[in-house]
Amino acid sequence: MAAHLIIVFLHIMTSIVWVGYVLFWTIVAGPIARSGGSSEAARVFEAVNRAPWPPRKIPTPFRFKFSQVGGLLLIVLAITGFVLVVAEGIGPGDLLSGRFLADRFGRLLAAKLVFVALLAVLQFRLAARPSQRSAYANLAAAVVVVVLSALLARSVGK
Amino acid sequence: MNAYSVLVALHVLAALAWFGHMFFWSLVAGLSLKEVDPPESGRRVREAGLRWGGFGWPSLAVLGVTGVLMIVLNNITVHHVVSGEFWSEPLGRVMAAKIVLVGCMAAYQWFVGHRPAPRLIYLNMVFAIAVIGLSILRVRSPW
Repeated sequence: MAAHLIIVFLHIMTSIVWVGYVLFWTIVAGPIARSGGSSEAARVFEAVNRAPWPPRKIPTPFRFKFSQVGGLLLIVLAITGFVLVVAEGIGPGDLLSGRFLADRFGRLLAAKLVFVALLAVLQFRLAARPSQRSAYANLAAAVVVVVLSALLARSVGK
Repeated sequence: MNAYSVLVALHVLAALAWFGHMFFWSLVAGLSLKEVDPPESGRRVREAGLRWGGFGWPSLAVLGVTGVLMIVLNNITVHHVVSGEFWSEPLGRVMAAKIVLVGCMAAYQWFVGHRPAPRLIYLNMVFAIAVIGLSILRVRSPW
């Protein structure tokens, strides 16, 4: 039970930071594109994406680019999400065979997986070529995933 | 999707927007933007974040309204709360701790708001982590 709650906590904390990443681009993309034009905005976004994280003054054996942070968060979400799904009694075999679609939990899970796949594509695009349009599309898909996650959490064990 | 599910979804979205913005800017964006080359680009992005990133009060308003409505839909009446019956149960105590912590975060919002607070923001993040932990206990506990 404690291990399960820790995984739930980790999944939710990661999703919180990831929503912050989605909001970051939504907040900054519009105003910068409006004030400086699309070419100026592209130059600013590329400079941001090249910035290191963690910053150079923090000693660490690993360092990423800002553009890689969203992908890293998605990987942690995918791993913890998979562990939580398995804890609900749905194994890889059920996922591949489609047996998990038999109940409400499985159908919600399927819808969430579709939107998570869409998000992964949008996030890749956002990291490669950030733009106002991809930022807003990413936010819309993120809202759907969060709503489906809330419904999924409520249908656990029902 | 019933009314309660809509409230849960709105409650979660508001919490994610508020906490997500706070955590991401404090732990990732704020640090990385100091090393953007050229620095002018980082400054412009920081300004846009300060101008448009004030999620605290709107999120608190949504969290307050949806939180109270969810309590009402759980058949917890004013009598339960005033008589102390509600607070004597484990879930009631979890809820009490959560309300105290959200009160601390509302106080931070009142006194600091969306202004930069290099040290205090970490205390606010500790409150947020505790609120998240208590919310998970509230939903997933066997009580």
